[in-house]
Amino acid sequence: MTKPNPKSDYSSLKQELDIVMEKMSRDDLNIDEALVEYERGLSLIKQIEDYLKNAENKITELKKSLSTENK
Amino acid sequence: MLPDQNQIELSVSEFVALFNQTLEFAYPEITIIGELANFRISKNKWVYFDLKDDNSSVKFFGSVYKLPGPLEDGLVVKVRGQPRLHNLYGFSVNVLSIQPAGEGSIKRAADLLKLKLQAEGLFDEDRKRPIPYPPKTIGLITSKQSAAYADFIKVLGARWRGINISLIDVQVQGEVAPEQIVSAINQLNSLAEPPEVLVLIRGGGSAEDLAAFNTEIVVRAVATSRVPTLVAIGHEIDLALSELAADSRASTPSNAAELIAPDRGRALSDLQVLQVRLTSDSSRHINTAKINLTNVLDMLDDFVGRILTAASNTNLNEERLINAYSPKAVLARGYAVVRSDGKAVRGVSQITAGDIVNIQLFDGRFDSKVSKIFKEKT
Repeated sequence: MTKPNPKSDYSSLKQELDIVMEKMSRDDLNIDEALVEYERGLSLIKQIEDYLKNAENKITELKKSLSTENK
Repeated sequence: MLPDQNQIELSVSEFVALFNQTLEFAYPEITIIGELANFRISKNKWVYFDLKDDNSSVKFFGSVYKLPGPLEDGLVVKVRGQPRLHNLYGFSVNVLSIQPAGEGSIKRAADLLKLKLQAEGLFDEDRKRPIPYPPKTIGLITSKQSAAYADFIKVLGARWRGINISLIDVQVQGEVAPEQIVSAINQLNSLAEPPEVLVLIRGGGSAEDLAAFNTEIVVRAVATSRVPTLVAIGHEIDLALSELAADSRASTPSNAAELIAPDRGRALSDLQVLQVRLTSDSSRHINTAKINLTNVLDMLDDFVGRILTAASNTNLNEERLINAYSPKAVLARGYAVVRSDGKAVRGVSQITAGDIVNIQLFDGRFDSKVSKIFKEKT
């Protein structure tokens, strides 16, 4: 199960995943922490995958400001 | 020829006013192409020059704000203006816009502007700021109708998702282009939440088509944008000054999309690699924990073993002691145990003559009859 993440944009998720990966690569990590980080890492990977598969680009057209309209 | 009776007589000022009215009616605006001569700037504000060709020369007057950048005599320019007769200084064309015309002049004008801005440090590498990769928000300035726009959106969409794009549709060529582009840059910069990057793109075209991106106001606006800029103008070989002023430049609009965002297919496969690494890291930590556990068990075994050995050594000593006190050892030295009715006889008072007693020696027993008792003092 993936918990909803309030900061669910790619950069935040990826940054968090990088921190998890860094922790997991350390030799002095104890097994309890390792298992927590492992779960967290899997959940982040899932969230990023969902993001990459489901997000869409949004285009909003801004009106030109008046200074060019009266040219 | 006799003078016409209907001919109107005018004062000089009346003539100037009437003449200007006529000009305004006949030529509200006029565009003239010619070679610059006697170009000069007065008080950093006013511009005077002549346009000439082989046979004619006409005077022009305008403000420096209408200039696309530095100009010099000999350049061929296209000037849009309003012909006027000044009440004191005579005829001139009031400049509305001025642009270099023809490839040679466009290039020369761009070179002049480049030298000027280069001297100011506008193109310096140490001014370049990094662009978020990928950004969450983009301010896109281009013509919505252009192939450049379509290419950029298509390539970006294929590569990455979840980007919010704020588009400002501007003209990317022609006389109004520079001011529209500058205004769009300023507008995006002044948003309450400005985008993370400004993307300014235009497809390929002639030198004249791309001229807006070589104008001083556009180049300066790109250089001074608070939001980092990515500019891609024309084809790979075209290099506009606004590209030099940008924090990052791309060779084409599609290339701009490639520089903005990674490929999500690749990002997905990178994720798989990360997942494998995560799992193997986790196994490693589990193995380490197991090895630690085995080590602890070994230590425990070792500890218990040592305690047992120590205990058994103590035991051995005690056994020796016990053996030393053993009755058998005493018997072996030649003593005997006398029993009567199965009970050890400790003194002669326990027996009487005629009793059958049992004698135990170290290697066996025998029965014996008591014939006489000799009691001794103890």
